[in-house]
Order: sequence, then structure tokens, then C-alpha cells
Amino acid sequence: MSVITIYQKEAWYDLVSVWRTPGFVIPSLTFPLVFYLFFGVLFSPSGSNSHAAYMLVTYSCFGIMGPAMFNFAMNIASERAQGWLTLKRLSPMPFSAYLLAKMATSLVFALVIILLLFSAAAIFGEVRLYHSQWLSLALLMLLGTVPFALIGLLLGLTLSDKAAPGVVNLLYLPMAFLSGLWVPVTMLPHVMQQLAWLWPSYHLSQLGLKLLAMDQGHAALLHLALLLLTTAGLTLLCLFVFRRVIGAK
Amino acid sequence: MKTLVFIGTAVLLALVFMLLPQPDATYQLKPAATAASDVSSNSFVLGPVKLFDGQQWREERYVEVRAGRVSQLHLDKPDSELPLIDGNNQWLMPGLIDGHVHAWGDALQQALDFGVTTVLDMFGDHQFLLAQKAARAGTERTKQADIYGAGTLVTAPKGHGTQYGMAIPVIENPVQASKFVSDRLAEGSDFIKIVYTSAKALRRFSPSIDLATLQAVIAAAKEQGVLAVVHIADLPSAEEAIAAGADGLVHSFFSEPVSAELLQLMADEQRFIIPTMTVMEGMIVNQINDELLLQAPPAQLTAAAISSLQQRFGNFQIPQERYQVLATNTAKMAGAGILLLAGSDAPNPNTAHGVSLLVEMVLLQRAGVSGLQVLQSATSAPAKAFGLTDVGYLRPGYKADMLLLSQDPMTELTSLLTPAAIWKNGWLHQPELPAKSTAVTAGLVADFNTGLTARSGGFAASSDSMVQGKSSAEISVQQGVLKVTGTTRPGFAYPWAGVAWQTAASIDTGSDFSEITRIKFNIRGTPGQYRLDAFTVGSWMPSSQPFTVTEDWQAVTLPLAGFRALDMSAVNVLSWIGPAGSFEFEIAIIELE
Repeated sequence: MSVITIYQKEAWYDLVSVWRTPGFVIPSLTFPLVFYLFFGVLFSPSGSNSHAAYMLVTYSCFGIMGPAMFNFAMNIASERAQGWLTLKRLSPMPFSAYLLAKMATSLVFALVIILLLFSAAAIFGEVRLYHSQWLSLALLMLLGTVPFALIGLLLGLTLSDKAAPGVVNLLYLPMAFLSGLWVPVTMLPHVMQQLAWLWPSYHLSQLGLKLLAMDQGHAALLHLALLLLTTAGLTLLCLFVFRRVIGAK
Repeated sequence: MKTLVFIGTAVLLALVFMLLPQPDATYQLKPAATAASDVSSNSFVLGPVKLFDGQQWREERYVEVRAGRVSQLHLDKPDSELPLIDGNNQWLMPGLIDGHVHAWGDALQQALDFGVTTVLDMFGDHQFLLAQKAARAGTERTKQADIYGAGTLVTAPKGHGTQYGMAIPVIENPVQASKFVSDRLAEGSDFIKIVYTSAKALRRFSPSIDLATLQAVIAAAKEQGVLAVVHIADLPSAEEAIAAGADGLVHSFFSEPVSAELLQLMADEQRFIIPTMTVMEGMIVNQINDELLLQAPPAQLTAAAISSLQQRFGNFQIPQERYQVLATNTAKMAGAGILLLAGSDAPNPNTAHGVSLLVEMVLLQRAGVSGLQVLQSATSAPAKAFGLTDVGYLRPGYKADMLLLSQDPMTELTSLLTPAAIWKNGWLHQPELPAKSTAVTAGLVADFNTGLTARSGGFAASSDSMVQGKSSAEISVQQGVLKVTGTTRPGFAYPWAGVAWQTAASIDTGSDFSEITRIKFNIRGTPGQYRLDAFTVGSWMPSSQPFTVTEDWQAVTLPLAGFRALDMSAVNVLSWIGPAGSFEFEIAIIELE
């Protein structure tokens, strides 16, 4: 079997195994959709179709974060607890195939969520964007899953399988709210607005809003740099933790 | 097989993205009746025209527009692959810039319908500004004017600007200045607008920040690289604002003649002023709208705009001569070489978006400002004053926001009211004409013998619960009587509960009540002071007439003339509103005479 095939098979089976967990699939797909329809479309101030467009960006961001964080954190934590991770490492399969498979699954979920939200925005929210904007927003959101996957990985490597779901929620929901993904960041109290700079989700959403020229007006490069810096930091941290986890076994 | 599935999925994905809707992709304009026949592109050559470039009249006769921007001016018809639009030797000038508006709702559409292609918002919802300013960088096809804005203004607790029901941050001392300014910039403000009344002013209408705070805010704005403009209403405030370093003054004043020192200082240091004569004309004289607009309203003027133009300020008791002081001040400032910006202050009473900028320009001209300066005041002057680099001129690189006029605006300024063509971002703009309302004739409106049927429109319970108030109302019909039960409770700024008659099928057109003089109805119910509210299309503030109700049936007749500032040609709702507290009343036989 060629190396490429191993990567493909691992990715495919990871996707299948997640796909066969309705308890994961249904909430992660419907949660952002229902939230968006509710807050982005139904509660849209009348006479404003920019609201639905603004919220499309933030809820897309919210949507793609979920599967990335949960898929990594929960599955790795439980596979670690079950000894599956040890088995995988002992098998001749390159370990990166395992991680890339998880990444691929997160991307598939992100893509489905993006398609659902975009369709909802186009049909119910009357959002009209240029093809370039639709496409670049989708691409940005797909790329944007990386830092959240890393956060998930970090949690999956450090937490027990019982603690993982709780801790992910504890991070995911407040982070989404504080980054202005549920209600526009400008509506948050001033202190929270400043704290928003801490969260990668804030920078991702601002980059997305920049595509629609609805952002807060900070430099795109600044957001991008902070996002890359966070990603780099998380990568290093993951490597460090990974070594320790392996060393302990 | 797998490859097929893969390719299939990819194709499907591409298809979904192709199908996602684009802005105005199918938007088609009717061909213009004028020179402009090609509406499918924002690249073209227009000429021959007599060209005012925002600053001066040019030799060039042809304008080359590419992708919505002026790319070149030509003396002769250029050899180009671009479609040629015949300018018929008419007059071409930059789209107008309104130097003072408060924009929300459809303000930007209304502005563009009158050739106002850019507005400067001097205080409004920063969310609106943030959402709308996105569009101004590009040259996409749009139905709206570009907006630059101050966002939330800088004022003292309970000061001018806080009275509109919007909770806004206020400033109390100079220490807060730097953060206050940076907060505004974070919200998306393009410049800072400050409200100031000097301690030396003869009349102080509402609390104002003190001089130290004014100086601190202006210094903070400069430090953070934005303009600071100051709203003033009298000479001492103007002098102190300019001395404190304000880049410009918002409003002029009629309290006393302008001082030589102020003229000198403003001219030397290149400060500007937006006199907003139209709104002051409304406070003092109240004639210009009737003369210019209301005798024969331009077709683009909506019923809501007309009602706004007819609206009056409360009675200020300002002697008429004061207007002459204002006009003289304006002329002196223009004469001293101070940069003058035309601004309407729409939608304040006596003004409406778009159209009132033209009124302002006429008022500037009548005050004695030269024709060239008047044209500059709505084009290059605001661009210079506010450092706008996209609009205000018809020169290479600037947006192709243009007006084609059938008469020379230097001699016939009112030709701006009926431009031969408007281009926004190089796209020909076709103003949307408001729908006409149908006339209502005298006779029975409803007798409630066959349910809620009315001759036109319909009845419905109405209360402030639709705007999150705490009042409630219910209606029912039995044997020729419309019964209304309700409770008026405080909870909304203007609590109400009762029954509303929407006079036509569409609330956007309403009905023409011009032939009606009185409304008559029979009513009984909880004794008290009731009122009949009448609404003009597009306006959310009713005009009211009170009447008394007793427990016995009585016929009430109200003259329609008793509704102040009601536009009879477009009445969309009449509401019978109950007294405070719990009530119950019955109405029978509603007639128009």
C-alpha cells in the first residue's frame, strides 16, 4: 500500500466513524444553522439586509470552530483513554496520517456548515455577495479551522475523555460570545471588546468581515499576524505536550 | 468510481457557489430618456459637455470613465473602444456632497435620487455608518449615496444630541477626552463632531461641555489623526471653538454679526464652515420650501419627504430680521475666503434628504455667495475640508459621480432639481419615483354591519406593544359596532392603545384625502380624553386631535384641517386612541365629508 493510500484510507475511515455518530453530526450541523436563522435572519432589524450578511460571517466562524475543536478534543481524548492512540502509534502508519485525517474530517464538516449557512443566508436572509466574496469567505473559514483544530488537539492530549466535552464547551461558547460571533462585537461592553483581541475567533471573524467591508477597521495584516502567531504558538505547545504524552506512556 | 464521486462532488460544490446570489446581478434600468443610452457599463466616454470639475470650468469637453472612475479628460473626442454617450453640449459637474445630514433608513437612496452622491453624517447610529460606509471604497452599482460620518457626537450629559431617545455616551471632563475620541474611532467614526455652547453665550439651550473639555477633545482628535468639527449656535462659541483649533464649524449663527477677528482667524488658518441655512430658514422665515419645491413638487419627492419639508420647529419667536444677519454673516465669510460647505441638516424640520441640499445652495447664492463658490460648496469644498480623495472632483482617479444638467448651473441653479442624468460610480442612476396614492371620496367608511369591512384598507388593533411598549388593545365587531378594549400603560416614550384604520391596501402609498374636509363618527365608552391620530406616509409621528368621550353615544366631527402638518395627499393611517389606564369604547358609523 502506498503512503498516499494510507493517508486516504485513514481520512476516509475517520470521516465515516464520525459521520456514524449522530450525536456529533446533528448538533454540530444544526446548531450554527438554527442560531444563524434565529439571530441573523429572524431578529434582523427591519429594513437592514446588511445585518444578515454581518451575522453570516460571524456564525460561519462560530460554525466551523465547533467541529474542529470537538472532533479533535473529544475523539483524541477518548481514543487516548481506550488505548487506541497507542495502537495507532505502534502500527506502521505514519502518525501524521492520524492527525491529518482528523483535520480532513473537520474540514468536511466546516464545508457542510458553510454550505448550509450560505444557502440559508442567500434564501432567507437575502444576502447578496459577489462570487469572489462568497468564495473567499468560504476559503478563509476553511483555513480558519486550523487554530481551532490545534486547540482541540491540545485539549484532547491533555484532558481525560470525561472532562474533554465539558472543557471544550467551556472554552467554545464563551470564546464565541466574547469574540462577537453571536451579537456584533460593537454591542459588547467596552472591556469585553478589548478582551476580544485575545481570541483567534475574533481575528478570524474580523478578517471575514473585512471581505464584506463590515469590520471594525483595523488592519487586515494585524489580524492575520495575530492569527498566525496564535497558530504557531499552539503548534509549538501541541508538539511539546505531544512529546510529554508519548514520553509518559 | 471513487474519482467520479470526487469529481462529482467538486462540480456540485462549484455549482452551489455559482448559484449563490450576487448583488443586483439582474438589476436592469430602463433606458434613460436623455443622452445616456448605455446603462450596462460603468466604462464609457461622455461628451461633448461643458465641464465643471468641482473647482473650475474646464476646457476639456469629453470625460473618459473606466470602471466607475474618471480616467481622463479630453479636449476632443478620443479615439476609444468605449461606448460614447452623447452629452449634447449640456453642463456636467461632480455629484453633490451634502455636508450635513443625519442618515438612517432610506436616507442614502433619497439623497442619490436628487443627485447627492455623497453625504457627511454629523451624528447618527454608528452601526448604520459602519454598515453603509463599506460600499464607498468601490465602484459597484448602487442605489445609495456614499456616506462619511461622525458616528456618535461628543456632548455633555443631557446636552444637545441626547434628546433623541438614543442612549449615547457623554463626556464629563477633559480627562476622558482621549479615550472618548478613540472609542468613537473604534466604532468607525471618520471624524469627530463636538457640540459646544460657550459660557459667554447669550442663550444656552441645553447643558454643554466646558471650554477645557472642548480643547481636550479637539487636541485628542488631532493627536489621533482625525478632523474635529464643532456644532455652535452663536459668536462666542464659534470664536472659542476656532481658537481651540476646531477644523470647522457646523452651523452658522444669527445671534449677532460675525466679528472681524473670527473672519480673519478662520481665513488665515483655513478653517471651514457648514452654515446650514436651510434649517435656520425653517426656524425664522419658513418660505423657501413653498417657493422652490412645494408649488410643483419634483417627481422624486416622496410624501414622507414633503411632510418633513412642511414640518415646523416649535415656535422660537425669532424675529424675521435675524435671517438677514445670518445671510450677511454667510456672505462675509465667503468674501473673506473662508471655505464654505453646503449642508442641509436633513431630516430636521424644513428639510428632506437630497432635495434640501439644492435649497441650501440656492440660499447660499441668495445670501450673496458667488455662483462658482456655491457650486464648489457642494463639490470640491467638502472634499478639501474633509480630505476626501474619491469624490468631489471630476478629475482622473476620482469616482465618476456626475450630474448632467440641461441649463447652466451658474445662472440657473434650480436646474439641479431636475438633472438630465445622474451617474453614481459611473453607473447611470434612475431615480425611483414614489407610488401614487388613490383619492378617497366622501361617504361611509365603515358601518361594522358586515364585520370589519371598510370601504378601503382595513381596521386593526393598535398599541405600543408593537414597539415593545406595555400597552395592549383588542378589537371585536358586533351588530354595527366596533368594540375596542385596551389598556394604556407607561413603558414606551409615547404610549398608545386603540384601533387603527389603514386607509389603503398599501401603507406605503396611503390615500389622497384632499377632497375630504371632515371625519365624523359615533362613539361611546369609558369617559375621558381620547384622540384621533393621523399619519402621513413615511412618517412615524402622528398629528393628533383630542376629543371627549362619554358613556352615552355621541357624534364626533373633527375637521381634517385640525391635523397640523398632515399631508392630505398621502394619509395612510387614522387611529382612535383611548385614554390612559384601562378603557373600553365602541365606535359606529365612520364617515368622511
